[in-house]
Amino acid sequence: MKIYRPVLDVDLHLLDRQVVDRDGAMVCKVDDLEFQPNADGEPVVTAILAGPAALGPRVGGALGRWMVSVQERLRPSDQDGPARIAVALVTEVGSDIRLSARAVELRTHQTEAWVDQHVISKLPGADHEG
Amino acid sequence: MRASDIMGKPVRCRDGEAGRVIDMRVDTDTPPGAEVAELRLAGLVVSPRRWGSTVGYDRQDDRGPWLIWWIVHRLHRSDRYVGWDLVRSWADGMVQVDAAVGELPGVPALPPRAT
Amino acid sequence: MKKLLGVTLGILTAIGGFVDIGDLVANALVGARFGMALAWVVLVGVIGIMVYGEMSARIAAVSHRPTFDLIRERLGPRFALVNLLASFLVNMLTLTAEIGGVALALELATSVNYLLWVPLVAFLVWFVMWRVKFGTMENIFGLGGLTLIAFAVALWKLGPDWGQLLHQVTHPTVPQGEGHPTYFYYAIALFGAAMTPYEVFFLSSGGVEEKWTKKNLTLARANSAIGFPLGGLLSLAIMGCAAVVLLPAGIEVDSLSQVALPGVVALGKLGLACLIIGMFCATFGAALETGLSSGYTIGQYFGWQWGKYVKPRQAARFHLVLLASVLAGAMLVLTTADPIKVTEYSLVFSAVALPLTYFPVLIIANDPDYMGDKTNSRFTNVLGLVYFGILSVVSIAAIPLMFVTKAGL
Repeated sequence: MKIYRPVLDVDLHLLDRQVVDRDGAMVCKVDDLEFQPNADGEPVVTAILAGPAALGPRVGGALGRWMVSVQERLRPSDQDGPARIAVALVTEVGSDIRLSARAVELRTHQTEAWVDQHVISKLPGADHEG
Repeated sequence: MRASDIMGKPVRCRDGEAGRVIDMRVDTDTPPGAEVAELRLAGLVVSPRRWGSTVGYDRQDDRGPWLIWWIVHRLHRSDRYVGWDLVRSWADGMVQVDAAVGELPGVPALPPRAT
Repeated sequence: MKKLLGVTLGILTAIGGFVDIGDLVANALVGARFGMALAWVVLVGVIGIMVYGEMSARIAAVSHRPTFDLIRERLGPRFALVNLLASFLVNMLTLTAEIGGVALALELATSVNYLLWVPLVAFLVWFVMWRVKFGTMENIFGLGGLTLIAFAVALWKLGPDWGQLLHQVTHPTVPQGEGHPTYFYYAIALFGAAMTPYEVFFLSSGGVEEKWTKKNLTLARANSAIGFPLGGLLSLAIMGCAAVVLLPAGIEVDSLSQVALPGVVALGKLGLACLIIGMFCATFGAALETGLSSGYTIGQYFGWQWGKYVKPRQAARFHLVLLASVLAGAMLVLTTADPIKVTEYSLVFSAVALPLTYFPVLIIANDPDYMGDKTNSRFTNVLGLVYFGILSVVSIAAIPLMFVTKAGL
């Protein structure tokens, strides 16, 4: 990935940034980051985390806990925890974060797809650019 | 480990509390513009005050409006930098650091963005 | 030639778009009670919206990101969430007032009760947001709102004592029978009307919708520099008409027909027709803007795909919020709460929310990460800080004054 600084601060430059797909479409915000030890045992960023389960702990308080419980009620049974975007998909870290994938291919797209399927596509003219 | 497990958590040194984690510094170990392989957690920015940090005025120079810059700089005069190698644990919402508060250096300024 | 047309269009749209139900009600109400003694507030408010409007437009043109999007990035999810909740509530209140305003304009035109118009108005507002191109929408309603110039024509035709009017503007005094707290309460409402938060959310999101770049910067600045002051003059014309016609007759403004009365007195049926068209377009345009702002703010906080520049299916959650907001606004109007009172409350709460809205704009406009070399000049920062001080005072004083004056009774 391309980065424009040799050193970054996570809160200043990574957290809460807009994530954008290869075509420029909006994907999500960086709600949290996942760190795992690398080969030398040092923590490195391994994934972007997004969704209410990721944002909840950062908002904190009763509202934050409620956000986490929303995700737990909505999530499909086969998946655990917040939506994850592997750092390998990141192509550029600038004023926003660019990915090599398309928004529709990612797990973050689930709620959007649901709303589209059950509400928006049922309205006439949903395929027209306004 | 998540960023939110460490961000905002109180920091305890050998001789007392140093404040809270207001940011985490990652190193690309690469010159700017070159392809980056990984973002390695290098250290923590610790402050006795929470307010005014995400705005970034405390770690970067020459930002207007000067009044806000001046206020934030004064509030963050005593911020400290903790290298990751000094962190013993971060369990139970508290970061344990293997050093005395007085031994911790000030926060190195961030190099500006390459164009 | 095309560029000149574009500039003119932009300016005209800014003028017509400057005036919404809040400005109509606040300026007329104040003119009818205080004459021109609060005109200075409009002047102060216009400069404020010029300064911060230019910043928002510059942010959109240079960073290609709208303001609300950047609030969370720069100030953190917690602050931004508080900001979102407050802005969304104020926005909902404003949207309700605007939907009410459109219905009232239609009542004025047809004598059919405004409540009966609400469902149709809500549907039309939603439909235009759903289907009509952003640029087309802006142009039609912006230009339509321009017929409110009839207020200026009416004032001129009424042939008032200009010297006396000017004296009232330059020597503001609290009139007999009105208390100082009430005077300042209405000053706050007027200020809130000039600097209503949705204006900057919409301005910057709209700039991104229309794909502004650095090249559009001069155009955006011209809009600000010319459009807002002319809009302010229009506000003063509304105030002046009320001061000249309603104040001497002791008529207070509690409905839209009183706002339009001076136009009828001066210009007869033609004047009334112009004013009705103008009020309809101005409030309908504002309903579109507040409706879209509800989608912009929520979508931009959570990082959803937002905007009219993509198909609705590609911004599903955004359009769901638009639909839900318009429905909620319509239902609130149908509770038969007095739309004029709702408008007044929306202005007061807008005033309370001002620092939350404008502080991030000031910070972001200074951030070289987003603005490159186009950060604020020293001059802009001085003005920005001064105004931030003013709107902080306004914000703190608003609620206490509301209680002390029993909402301006």
